[in-house]
Amino acid sequence: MAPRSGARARRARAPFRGAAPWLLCIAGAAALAAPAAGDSAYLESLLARADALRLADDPTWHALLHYRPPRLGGGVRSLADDPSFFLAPDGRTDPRAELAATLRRFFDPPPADPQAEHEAQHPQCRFVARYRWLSERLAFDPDRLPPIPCPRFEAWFASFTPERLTLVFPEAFMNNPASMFGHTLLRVDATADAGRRDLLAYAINFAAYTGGESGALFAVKGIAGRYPGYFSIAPYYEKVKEYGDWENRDIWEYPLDFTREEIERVLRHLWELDRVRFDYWFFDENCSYQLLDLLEVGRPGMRLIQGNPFYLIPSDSVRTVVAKAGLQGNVTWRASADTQLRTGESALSAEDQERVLQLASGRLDPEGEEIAALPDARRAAVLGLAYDLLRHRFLSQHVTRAESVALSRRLLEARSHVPIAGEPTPPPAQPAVRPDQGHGTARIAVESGYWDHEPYVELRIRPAFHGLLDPEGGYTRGAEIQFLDTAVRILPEEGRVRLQEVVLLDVLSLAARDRIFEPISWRFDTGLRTRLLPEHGSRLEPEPVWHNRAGAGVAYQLGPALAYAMGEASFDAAPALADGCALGPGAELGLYLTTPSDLWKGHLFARTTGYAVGDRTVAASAGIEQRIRVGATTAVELHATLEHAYSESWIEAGVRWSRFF
Amino acid sequence: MKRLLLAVLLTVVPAGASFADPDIGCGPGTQIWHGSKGVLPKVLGATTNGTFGMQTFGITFGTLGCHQGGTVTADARVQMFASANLDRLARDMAAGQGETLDAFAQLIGIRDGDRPAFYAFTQAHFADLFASNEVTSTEMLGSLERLMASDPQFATYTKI
Repeated sequence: MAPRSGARARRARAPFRGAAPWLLCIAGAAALAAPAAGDSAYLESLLARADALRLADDPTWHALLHYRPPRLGGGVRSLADDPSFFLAPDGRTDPRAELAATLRRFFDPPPADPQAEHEAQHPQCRFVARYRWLSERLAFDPDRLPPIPCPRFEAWFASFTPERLTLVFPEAFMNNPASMFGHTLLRVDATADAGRRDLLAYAINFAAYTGGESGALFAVKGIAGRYPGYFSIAPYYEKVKEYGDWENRDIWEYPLDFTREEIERVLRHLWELDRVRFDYWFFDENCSYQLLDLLEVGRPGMRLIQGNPFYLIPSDSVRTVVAKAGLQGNVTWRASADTQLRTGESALSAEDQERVLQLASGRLDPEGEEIAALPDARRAAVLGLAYDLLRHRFLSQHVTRAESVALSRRLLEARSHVPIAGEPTPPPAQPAVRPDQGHGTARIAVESGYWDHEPYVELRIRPAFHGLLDPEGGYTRGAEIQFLDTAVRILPEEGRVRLQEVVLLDVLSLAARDRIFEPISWRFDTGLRTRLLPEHGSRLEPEPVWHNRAGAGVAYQLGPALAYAMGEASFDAAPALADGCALGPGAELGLYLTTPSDLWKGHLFARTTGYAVGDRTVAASAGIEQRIRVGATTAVELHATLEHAYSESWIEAGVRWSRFF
Repeated sequence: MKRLLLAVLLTVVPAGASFADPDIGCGPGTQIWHGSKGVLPKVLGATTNGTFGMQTFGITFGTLGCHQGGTVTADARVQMFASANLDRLARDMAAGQGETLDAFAQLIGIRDGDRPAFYAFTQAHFADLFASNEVTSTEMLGSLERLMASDPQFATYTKI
């Protein structure tokens, strides 16, 4: 269906970069002049020059081989876990040996089959980025080191016609441990005259190969580095479908200030990474880590990853790339299917919302009188949103295909009869604060307060990531994830210091329900806490307790307030508890309230736990926390809680100064 | 307690678990309408981020490489796109506008000047393009080709 001068012609004039055109001409000659492989004198001179130029120490060579200083010991070690990625036996740890072996193997005789795949490719074709860089630095003499034609690579490379590289950040997806911190991938945007369309661009992704494992098992094995990770390429529309339609994550797109030459370096190196295994580590050597290393090849010396971090959060990697690689043009935002549906729905009157619900459940005829009587714009909106809602229910497995396909078709057919092009409802508005502009993921805090009549000064550090009371901008609403939130209390009256809390993990997802969406809110936390426990029947004393809690419930948006209710289960373990443990059900009610600019946020809550097994008591508490945002990196919090357990009551209250970095 | 914890865990991971279904991609379960049948729909099916299933791994670099490591032909790209995006394409065609329809028009080579008319054309012929509940992307493309061939404005566009 393409016009005769269409896509095919464009491909035909796709640029053959580098040496390719004349390569083809001399390929035959090179084959005849195979003795070049034995030009050991030239090899020796190249090796000597590489040494003189200290190429093995060059940041580009280290980026190409993914060398990094190990956590223990000296030297370097490549992150690539695939022997086929190295040409020297000790290439993984010896940059100089790998460079020498690479140069030596460039002299290999031309392969019988130029279309050979993977490891069977000639080293010049398998490692095109190494070849190009070394040939530039050492000025290869084509007579003494004949270039080998790489038709497979050239055809692949020509399909990109790259003009722009875009960093893509799908926001957090709370219902999968793999996705709680968001994700990063790259998109290669074609030139405008190649008919650039974002959906048709290619996406570069690094992902763990899990063989279908997911959920908790994924989390455990992912943290332990038990999955192999690989780079892959897919059309961007597949990624939009996955993240935007199936997981309902809004997607941010950051066009990077990379030149075409830099993008081409990235692509050439990507070719080298085809089927190369990198062990996937959820916290450090994850998708973002590997993408940063790939970008580093495009522009060596940016040092996107400094040293050897213990964890790398995708949103932090976005911050780093924006700061060090720079942006060109505007950051764009792509609303997920649910965001679009929610926005469209909220623009309708209550009676039209009801019509959408009835249409999507088949209780109202799309071609019937009631719908036909609506003005065109409302008819188009109602029919379109009813289809979107039905698709949402289908994708969330509330209806089957058999139940939805006939109705889907009738809804769209009715929509096609409305003479209006496009959506009558306004599109969702891009959030004011981008993910890279949100608060830093690490937090330190100093607090002063009273607990059970005793004054304290508290020092607190949280390496990651976001609490619901933290400034909201740039973070997924209603999603709290905190790691290793650790507090030490100084007690001036007793003249001692106590480890108050080490919350290993605290996850909370509050998702508002409405007449269309019915998500479940949930929480889980585990870690060391300090509880007041009775000492031999006398007064209560602070004791360390291993506290675990899980809960599930519902949340509703009531004007500016997000109200929630949860059923919970708690399990505590400590030597100080009677029987060493305490176990029981609980409940929590609460309300988060925010001013429109998020200058102030408050949290009112009441909770109770009926410890019924082990150390029995009914614990209850009610309180208020509030936070004022001061500038971009600082917040001040005030909190006061009335607590009750073992038939005694006390108050905890304090003021906290927090700084994010 | 154990049961409750289990219940909580189940509520935590349902989407992840269901998306790990090996049928993900273009098969039943992800689209209201059928994609095309055969080799092409298997091209992709990545699941949640940081993970992917068997078929994606088997064809790392598959989009470009499913055709002998080279580029995918123009025909195949149209087929793949229509197959993978049939739900959204149907939505956009019925509305006579949309990003998926725009990308599709680009892929089949509709000239800029003909775009608005092409969008309106798909809207007007929606009932013919999606004539049954079991229509596949291949059939939809065939219908579109026939309809365009008999239309004065679009007859100039050659077969895919």
